[in-house]
Amino acid sequence: MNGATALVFAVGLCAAVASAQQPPVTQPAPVTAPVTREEYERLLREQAQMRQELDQLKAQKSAPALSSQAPPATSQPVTQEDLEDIQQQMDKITRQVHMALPGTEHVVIAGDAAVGFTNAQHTNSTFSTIVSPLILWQPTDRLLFEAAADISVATDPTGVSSTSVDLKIADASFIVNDYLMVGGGLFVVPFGQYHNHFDPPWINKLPDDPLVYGNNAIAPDGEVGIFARGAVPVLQNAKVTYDVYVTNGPQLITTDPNAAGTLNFSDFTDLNNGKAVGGRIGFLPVPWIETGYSIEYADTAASGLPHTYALLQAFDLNVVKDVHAVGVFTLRGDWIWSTVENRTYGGGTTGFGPITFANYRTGGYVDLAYRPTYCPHPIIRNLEGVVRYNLLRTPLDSPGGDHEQLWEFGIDYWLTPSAVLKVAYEVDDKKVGVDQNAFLVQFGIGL
Amino acid sequence: MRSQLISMFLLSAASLVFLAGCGQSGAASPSTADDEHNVAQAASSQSGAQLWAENCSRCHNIRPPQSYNDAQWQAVVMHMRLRADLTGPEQRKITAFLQASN
Repeated sequence: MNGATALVFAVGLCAAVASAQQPPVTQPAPVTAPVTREEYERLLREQAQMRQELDQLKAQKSAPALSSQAPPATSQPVTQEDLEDIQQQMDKITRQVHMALPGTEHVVIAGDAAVGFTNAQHTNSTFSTIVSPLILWQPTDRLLFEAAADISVATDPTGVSSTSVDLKIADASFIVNDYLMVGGGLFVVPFGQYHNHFDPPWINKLPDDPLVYGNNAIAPDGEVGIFARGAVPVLQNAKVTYDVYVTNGPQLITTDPNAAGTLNFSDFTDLNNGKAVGGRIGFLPVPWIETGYSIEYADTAASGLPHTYALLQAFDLNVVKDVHAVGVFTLRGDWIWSTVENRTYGGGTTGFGPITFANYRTGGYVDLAYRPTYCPHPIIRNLEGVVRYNLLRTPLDSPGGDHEQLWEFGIDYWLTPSAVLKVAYEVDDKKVGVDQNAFLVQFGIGL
Repeated sequence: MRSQLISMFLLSAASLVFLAGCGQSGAASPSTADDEHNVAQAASSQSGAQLWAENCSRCHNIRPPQSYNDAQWQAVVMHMRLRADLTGPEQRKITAFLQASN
């Protein structure tokens, strides 16, 4: 198809379209009339004009891009102040952009990890390790999701290795106002201060947990339920904090001959319809002192068995004082009372008992630490000395009952604010069981 | 005696929650006049840096502001509001300080 033929075809098509858009007339024009020379030349002129306009549009469109690449000839020399001003504006804009990022951008993977070595009397020495990732997700200003797990590898005293992945936190929290947050899920119970504040390996000043929070814990760690918490400023610089919660609560162990009458805080499902209620009231007379009272009350027996109530109470204290030119002193501790009502365990086919007793257990710990932060010598000022006194008393006539005291003496070396190498020696004193003095080393890091 | 103790505790806690629930609403960003009013009224004249040092060092060594970016600090400080029972104004001041210093 040559150019003239195409042009004629195009003109015909245009004419057909134009006639279709015209209002109807009584005598339609014939569409088969030949194109005159005059019409042909007019179309050529119009085509040339359109091409010219198109070139102008293209030139206008590309002009800004060119001007942004080359500074105008009349611009002044850029000074250092101009650069700093631009940098500040850029920082401000960057910050605004970050603040406006969608919720999926407000995700943090933090947590902690530790590698330890324990050489205790009457057992094989062993290495152990734990990694505890913590995921924080804040989709809106008022909403926060938290999830944390303990991933650990250890060798128990009998030489059997074990691995575990334990969910420790899985909760959602919502800011109601400046003084109230509510939430629910699996959360760290605010009972005492240790688990809520001090148990990560880069915060805990010794390689192991206090006796009352260790293998034979008499206080809860995490529980499943709902909570409300917050703080209210009072007086000049003082503050009152509060926490209340309703959870599934602990379970009473009844059939284990070595642990009957104690509470299992690690099974998160409930055995009955009676929920645990608890809370903590804290008071900070000055920012460097915090003290509190905690309480939890729960029906601990399985459905169908007689109700057995447990009452747990704790008093806690935390003092951190930076004495100018001397260093930082830390005094912290929890004291716990745990009572399970009078009840009979064993008998029949259980293989032990029957034994009837009220399980009244009490104990606590006190940490005293000093770090010479003002010492000019860099190695000495990163050292911290720690002493911990532990006490745990359980009824001597109960399964596993004992009176145990444990002194711990430790030296920490702070590699960074959140990485510490800890060395400690424990002196154990049991009334019934075998004493187990131990030497411990741990490297802990906060991520 | 025990039930009286528990009742008194729960009553006190419920009263505190109720009173706190009547407080003024405030989210994390210090962008409104209400928030500024809250900051002025509620907590104190303490700066974000001072609140950061006092509240963090009560439990652990303070982490440098460069540890996280602005968005991450928002989430981390809200997490610490839960753990350390910070008030809303304290949370906003500490967040603003860390975001300005990282």
